[in-house]
Amino acid sequence: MNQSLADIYAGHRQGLFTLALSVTRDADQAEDAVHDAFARLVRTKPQIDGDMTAYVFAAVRNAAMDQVRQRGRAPVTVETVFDHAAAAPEIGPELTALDSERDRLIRNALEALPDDQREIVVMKIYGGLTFGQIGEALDLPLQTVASRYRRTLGQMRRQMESLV
Amino acid sequence: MNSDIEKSLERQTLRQPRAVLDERVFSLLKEEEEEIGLGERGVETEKPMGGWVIFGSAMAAMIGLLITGWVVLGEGGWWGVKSGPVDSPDVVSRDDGTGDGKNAIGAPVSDAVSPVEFVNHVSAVEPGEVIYLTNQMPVRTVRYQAVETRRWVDEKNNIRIEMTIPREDIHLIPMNLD
Repeated sequence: MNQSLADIYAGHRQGLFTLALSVTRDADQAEDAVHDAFARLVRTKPQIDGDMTAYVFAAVRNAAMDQVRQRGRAPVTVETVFDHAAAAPEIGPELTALDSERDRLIRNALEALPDDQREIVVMKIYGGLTFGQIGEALDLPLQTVASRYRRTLGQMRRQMESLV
Repeated sequence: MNSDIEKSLERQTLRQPRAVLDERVFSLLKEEEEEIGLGERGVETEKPMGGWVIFGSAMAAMIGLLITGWVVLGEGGWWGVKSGPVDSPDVVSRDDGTGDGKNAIGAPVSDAVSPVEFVNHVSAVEPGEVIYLTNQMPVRTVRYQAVETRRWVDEKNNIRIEMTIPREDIHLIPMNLD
């Protein structure tokens, strides 16, 4: 392994948790999924030919899906990947009231996406992965990931424009 | 085309995992290190910085020995290894400026050395205390100890050079103290 698991966790901690949360919609289960994925990786010590970071993201996603399967029902409260309790950025020259409303709409648009589309956006924007890495993690061709990502952002734009 | 959407998404504040997740994952990774025989070095991290100075000095001495060993190999030949031209731009200069085509240790310059092989092995990961940055953001300190190993191989003359460099990094991981 060129990159250690510790390095990957330190560098992608937030992205891994956000991906898990976007799958489970439950913060506790998302944390369990990240932990379970690393426990599995430590236990099995897989020999990775491809990108190690992509492999870890795939492991966390699979563990999150396992959590959902074990739960067997929808969570009582659907939790989003966003921290709604965090103080809103101050409105100023750089962030207008319109931007603030736009941000609210975009958060809703992301949450309303189908799982497969939301996962790609989360891995790209919040995981910092390349299309190639996302392709490895999801076992999809790079071009498919890139076109699906662009299509999803276009879909979010249209959804927002229809509401404004 | 969709860069404004991307920027809006990047601007959002994300829900953060709790600090307990860091502890759970790092304890897993620490167990793994102990399993592969690195536990003693992990214990070393508990020592005050004085211990690190000693550790660092010992490693520096090791580097010196390795380089010296290489020099001797190049000049006299140990263990039945035929001496011959060796060069590594990272270890010694290609030319000592005397114009005789030799480097600073007197060995003739050669291009026979194969490219550097680089291994970065994390030997210990230690989650530390929570500190507050000047903007009051809580962060957890995580100390990484790593050993970088660089190898050069001169297959023509059957010489292998290895340089080991200890490294310590402190990572600051933002956290949410719920």
